[in-house]
Amino acid sequence: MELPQTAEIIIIGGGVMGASTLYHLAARGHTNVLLLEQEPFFGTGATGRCAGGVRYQFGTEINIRLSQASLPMLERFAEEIGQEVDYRKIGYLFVLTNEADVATFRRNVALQHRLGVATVWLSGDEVRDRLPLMRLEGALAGTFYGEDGLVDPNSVVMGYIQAAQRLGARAVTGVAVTGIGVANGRITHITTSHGQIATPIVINTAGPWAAQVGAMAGVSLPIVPLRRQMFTTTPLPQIPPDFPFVIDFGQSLYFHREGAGLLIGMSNPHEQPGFDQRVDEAWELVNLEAAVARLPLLEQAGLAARWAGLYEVTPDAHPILGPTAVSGFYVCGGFSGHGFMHGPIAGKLMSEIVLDGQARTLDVRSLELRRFAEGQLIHEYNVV
Amino acid sequence: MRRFLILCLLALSTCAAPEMSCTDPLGCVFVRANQPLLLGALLDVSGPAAALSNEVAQGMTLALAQRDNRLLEHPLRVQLFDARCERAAGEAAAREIARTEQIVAVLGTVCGESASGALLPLAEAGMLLLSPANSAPQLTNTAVFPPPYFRAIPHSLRQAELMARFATEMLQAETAVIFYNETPYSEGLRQTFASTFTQLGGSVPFQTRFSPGSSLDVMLQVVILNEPDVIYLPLYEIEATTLINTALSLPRLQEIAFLGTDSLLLPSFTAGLGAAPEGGLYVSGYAVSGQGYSQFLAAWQQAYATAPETPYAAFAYDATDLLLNAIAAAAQRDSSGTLLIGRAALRQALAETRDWPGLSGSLTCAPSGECASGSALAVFRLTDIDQPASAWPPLPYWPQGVDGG
Ligand SMILES: Cc1cc2nc3c(=O)[nH]c(=O)nc-3n(C[C@H](O)[C@H](O)[C@H](O)COP(=O)(O)OP(=O)(O)OC[C@H]3O[C@@H](n4cnc5c(N)ncnc54)[C@H](O)[C@@H]3O)c2cc1C
Repeated sequence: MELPQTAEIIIIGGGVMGASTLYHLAARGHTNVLLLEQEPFFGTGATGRCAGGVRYQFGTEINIRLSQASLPMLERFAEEIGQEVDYRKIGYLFVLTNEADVATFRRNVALQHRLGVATVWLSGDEVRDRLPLMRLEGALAGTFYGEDGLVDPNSVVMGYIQAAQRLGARAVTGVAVTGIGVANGRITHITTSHGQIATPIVINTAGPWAAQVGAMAGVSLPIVPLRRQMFTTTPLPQIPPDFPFVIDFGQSLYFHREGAGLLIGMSNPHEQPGFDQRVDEAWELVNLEAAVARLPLLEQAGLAARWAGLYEVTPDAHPILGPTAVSGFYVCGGFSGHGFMHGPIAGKLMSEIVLDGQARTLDVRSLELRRFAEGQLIHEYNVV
Repeated sequence: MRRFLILCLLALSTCAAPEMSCTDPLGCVFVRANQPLLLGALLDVSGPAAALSNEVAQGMTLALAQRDNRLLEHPLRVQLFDARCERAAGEAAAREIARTEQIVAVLGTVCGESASGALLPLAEAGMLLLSPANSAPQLTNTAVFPPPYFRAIPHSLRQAELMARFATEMLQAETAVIFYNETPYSEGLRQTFASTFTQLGGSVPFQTRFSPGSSLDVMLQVVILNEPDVIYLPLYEIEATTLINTALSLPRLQEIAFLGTDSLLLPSFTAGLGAAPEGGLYVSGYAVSGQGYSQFLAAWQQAYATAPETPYAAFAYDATDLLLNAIAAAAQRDSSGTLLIGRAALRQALAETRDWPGLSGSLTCAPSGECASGSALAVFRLTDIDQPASAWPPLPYWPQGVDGG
């Protein structure tokens, strides 16, 4: 494959972050931009393995604002980008089973209301009324917001990639970036499996592999890969079409409709960082048992599919967006399990940071990498 | 309860609740409203065919994009599996695919070896494999490999038929000799060339295994005694280079025409020859052209800002398009948007493909699974042995107007 010898900007990684960034740069007329993806298809990393959930319910102002900017972009996607993405507003229902969570979610909901997100507070009985098929005796309260829902991740990635390509930008698969050249504190070039390319600007959108790419430029990124897995069931006709995205928060256990069955996942709090993407069968059993305990009719279901993927986790579970100590080297990563939904706005913000020197649509300076060195971490509670 | 779940885990969806009306003998895939329609891509991502696999994936991506990444109002999603160009890895990946019941059908492989390992597990799951790149003829031999297997690329023996026709019709050759090696690839081409050439009125008085070293001189003396018009060489690069260079050192063989196979359609091959044979050097191989292909090249250029390096890009596009067309034909759709795709029905829909206007020519699937017409094959004339790599590949030489439509 013939690659150009120079590019104005190089983006490393073709998941939702890279694709969105590429599109937003191209939409601003910057088409001498090259996105490199190491796999044969775009979006096969975290993005291709994600649950597709999109929500406004977060516990920090910055995350809520990211959602308020990003989710409407997904709603307008077909119109603006020319690709259907199947946005389904089924709502997220958080189920709370301990007092500490109830107290935190009360604060979160107050914050959401202040920012214009009309989350509904539910009593324990209201939760049980809404989810009659589930065994939720211990539910103390819950929160629900009907604008939250699901979107098809692959359509978003391919929509952005193809729209950017139509505008003249370039995105190629099967090219791994193996090195990043830095001289006098500035980016000079990258080395790939297909040769060297001179460039003054590199954007690291390598998702769970972002720290590896950062190290190529001598930049230490606190982004850790953590395996998360889920499975889908065979059809369960009893599940109503409007079954929401249910999160049993205390157990990090979630359910949503997938086809005529359910998609179910649960985060293993003891998972060790690593790049293993095989399903952990022991944990799958734990997950199944917890799921059946909550939803007994799962005993009638079979397992349709299962897979694992990698979260890209930062110490404060918030993304890293912006410049680094190496001039021309930017990072857009570390979304800690909710990056798909923030991909559209993240790419737009990156285009602004790179082209204008700072983000204009939303003030995201608090998400810069230097917060870790400066001890300015952000605290979020709603991480699943 | 735990035991039940473990059983379900092992047997996967055998614990499923009975489904509505799936009467298909090979089982069905239900794709519910809003659910993506999942295709498997069994490519040889690592190993010697990695670059080709990437080009195949890019061709598939363009075919999906052509349909806005959707089919019958469902988003299309591809799940990638690595067959590593090895039989065992192909089999392991196919077992993994077979466990993912939601996969409607599988596109791949690139290497024949991995396909040979994948076919049985896929057949057991009723899943069809449609290859854009397997040229090994025996893969459609149902006595050896279980169906459903299809391919959108002409198998390698078609080039031997084409070359035999070229030799008789274009070069007016009456006598041919053949040097071959012990591989099934070479053996198959040898047999097909010899029988086609003979059927067309020619004679093949001498066929021999290529063996480097002193016996080559002896063999070439035998060749001279037979006074052939052409020497057919279903050989690999180093063997063919040695043979041609040695032959050209003998005055009586300098005007003979050398006929090679796609294994020699490489820029490094001509570069390794001491001189261009005066009688001509012709090599058969895949070639795609025509108006549809020009449009494809433009779309490829727009997407990847380069040209595809091999015709396999077009075969990948055709294979994907063919499959999507067959899925559209086989799927039943209810008022909620749910699709029911019977696996046998899909196989039949693909087998019933007639005159499908592919980039690589008109595609009609035979019961054996061969869908390519052979029109995407051509003879190339390698004249300039110092040709720069940038001028590669050469243009097809014969038949005139190779056309993909
Ligand atoms: C199981 C699971 C469920 C999730 N559920 C949700 C959800 O419901 N909602 C939500 O919003 N988010 C969810 N997420 C999180 C979300 O998937 C990620 O935050 C998001 O997809 C990250 O996108 P990305 O583009 O940064 O990373 P990726 O999609 O991983 O893309 C990075 C790409 O970089 C490529 N790459 C890496 N190194 C190199 C290199 N050296 N050269 C070239 N290419 C390279 C990789 O191959 C990869 O394709 C989930 C994640 C997982 C794992």
